[in-house]
Amino acid sequence: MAEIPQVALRRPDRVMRLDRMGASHPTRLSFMRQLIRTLNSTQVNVSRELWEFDPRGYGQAVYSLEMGGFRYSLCAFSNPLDEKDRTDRVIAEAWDTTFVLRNGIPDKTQLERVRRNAVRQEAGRYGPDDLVLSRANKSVRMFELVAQNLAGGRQPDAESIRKVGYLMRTTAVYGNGKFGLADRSLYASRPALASPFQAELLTVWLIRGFTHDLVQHVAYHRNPDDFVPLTSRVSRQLGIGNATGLGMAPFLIGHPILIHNWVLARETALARVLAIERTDSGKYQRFVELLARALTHIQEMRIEDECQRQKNAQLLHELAELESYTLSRRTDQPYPWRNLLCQSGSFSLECQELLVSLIIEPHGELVDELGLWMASEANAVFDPSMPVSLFKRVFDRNCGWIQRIDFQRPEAARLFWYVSEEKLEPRLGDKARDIGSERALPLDTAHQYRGIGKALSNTDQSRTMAEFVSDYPEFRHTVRRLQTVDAFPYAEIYANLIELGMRPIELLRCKLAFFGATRFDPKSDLWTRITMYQGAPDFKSIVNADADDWSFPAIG
Amino acid sequence: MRTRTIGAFRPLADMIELSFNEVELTFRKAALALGWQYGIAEEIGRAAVWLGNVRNLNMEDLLILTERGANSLHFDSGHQRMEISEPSINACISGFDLLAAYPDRFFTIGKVEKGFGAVASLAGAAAQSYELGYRFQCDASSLLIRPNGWSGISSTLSGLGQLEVSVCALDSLPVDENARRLRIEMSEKLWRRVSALAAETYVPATEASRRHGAGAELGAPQC
Repeated sequence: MAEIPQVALRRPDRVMRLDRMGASHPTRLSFMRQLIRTLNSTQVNVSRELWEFDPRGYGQAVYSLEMGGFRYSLCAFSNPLDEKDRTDRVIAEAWDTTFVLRNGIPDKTQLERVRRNAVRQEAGRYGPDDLVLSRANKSVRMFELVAQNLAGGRQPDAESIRKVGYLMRTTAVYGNGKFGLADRSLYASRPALASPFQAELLTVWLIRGFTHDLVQHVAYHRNPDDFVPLTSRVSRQLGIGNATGLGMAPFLIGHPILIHNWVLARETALARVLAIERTDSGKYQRFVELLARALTHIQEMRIEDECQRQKNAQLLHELAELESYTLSRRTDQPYPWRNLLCQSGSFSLECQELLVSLIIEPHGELVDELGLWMASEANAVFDPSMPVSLFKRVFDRNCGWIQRIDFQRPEAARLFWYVSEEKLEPRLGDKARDIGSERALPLDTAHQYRGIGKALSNTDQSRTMAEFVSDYPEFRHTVRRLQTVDAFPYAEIYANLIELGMRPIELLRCKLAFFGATRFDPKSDLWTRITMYQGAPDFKSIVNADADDWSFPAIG
Repeated sequence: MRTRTIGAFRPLADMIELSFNEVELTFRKAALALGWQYGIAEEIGRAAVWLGNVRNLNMEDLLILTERGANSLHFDSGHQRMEISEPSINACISGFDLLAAYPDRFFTIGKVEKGFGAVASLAGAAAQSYELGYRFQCDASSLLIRPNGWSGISSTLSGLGQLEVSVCALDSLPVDENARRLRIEMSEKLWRRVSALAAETYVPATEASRRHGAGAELGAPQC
């Protein structure tokens, strides 16, 4: 196969800074996009195997589909929930709906077992055929509004959908062995599930379809005579909401090879597109259309947070400038994509990263294969045979950035990450205020590197790292990390993650962008609301030719 | 004996079925609670998964060894062999590191009969990391461990008093096709002990941590 030309990749110390990570936007390599392409290419057929609900919408359902030679089922359970018990926090004890994604179609006994455990969520036990566990709560106002409209023979209005683009919000999606669920290693070799988080995101897509069915069921039973179903257009506009907290942040630090692969794929995609000397007018026109759609998408966002609103306002201004620039350029200019990216160099990081997504978008035939690179089953490995002298060079090569940190300031080590006994929720503590810093998670990579640097200066350079970690067992984890980062350069996050003022929301946003989430609506520096699958095809339109065209969805 | 039936799968009496991820993370946390450094705790977690994949060894061995604590150790790379007087987590891990760094050497472990399962599991975990095979030699009998399981030249080692551990080439080791399991079975009693230890790494919840630590309060983010 001929090698695909590409320009130099953007440097890790530029890309893996918190501020740029926090400006990430989804691309066509995002995991939801990959899943939808897989479902479309296999012309998947979602069957509703079971539907047992009372007129108020309480009961159970089973959906199944075949993908890559395997059959999967979503078992869905809907129960009454008091308003006072409804919370998006992971510490909730009850939910509107609960779900399990399973291998095969459950029989009655299996379904009952799944139900008994699913309604207990983390307190239940699951088996090797249970792949994913999840739950979702209604957006009560939106669910009721849509039900009322459909019962009255109308579609919900566009402004309501712009404000809340979903009927329900998932508040947790568990996989990979948690609570006895199947380990990812049991299904990672299945081609359709090989990319990261495909099982989890398949679950969320099925849940989304379930929410559409549920609201129509409720509406129908209210007024069968006047009821109208959701149109395909509106159905696609209704995604699934999510409240995302701190749990994602430790993941990014704890899976360095995986993160490297994600970022490498995206940067390689960009590098390939930037290397294009001449583009055809069709691709350029497509970019122009997407830019206009992205403008509308941002304009339609209803954000409460003042900081994000300011960023979006600036982004809109810059996108409008880019639009003018784009329309004024000839389509036969050399290196058009490189010129566009250069044009955005003085713009905000939000705009630069959005442009990266838009530039990649029209070039699926050039970049989609990179999705196969994004998985990794490898663990970080410690090489004890490495001479200390060589490791010192690794250290010097990869840890120069910590010189910018003033470790003498108390604020440099003020925060700590920990796991709360309350539902094992990851939290961020302040040593000036909170207990538990002695149980901190090892996310203070900058400080660890500093410690290693001091120890290295007192170590005989002719020895091996086996001897070094025998003398300094407290550095074993960090040595392993540094050896890994040296081999996988996008693995490192260039930030002091325990410094007062560090914004975890930037880590969350980066991971969520790789997932494919949109409509970032931060509620604080610690959590955000997002929407998933808005604009994506539903159960019926998944087989359509335009199934992959849903980036930066606009309600219109 | 109490039997617990869970739908289609029936674990042995008083046993619980667990995923690899649960076992690895919980043993890791238990090790942290017992005072082990994070990097060592990671190895213990991996060792637990390896041990769970191998039917013949007692998982409790690993917890006992983890609870025992560290030996002081002198690692002298100038010597052909390292002697470990009795098994300890840090000494054995150092021993396997030594073999990965200097494959022509060997180390000995005394009093192994009280912790062979744990030592074997640490070897198994190390074998996966370094893609090496290990030979345990005791008198005339030997046991081989490779990354995906273990294969015994003799099914038992006689005289477990002192073992000599060395590296052996992977291609000399038969492959155990059935080594990998779908689940790990463990006694509920052991799981409760490990889980209770793991829980010591969690921070008690307070109202302040609920409000400030996880974003429950709508606070203005900093621009």
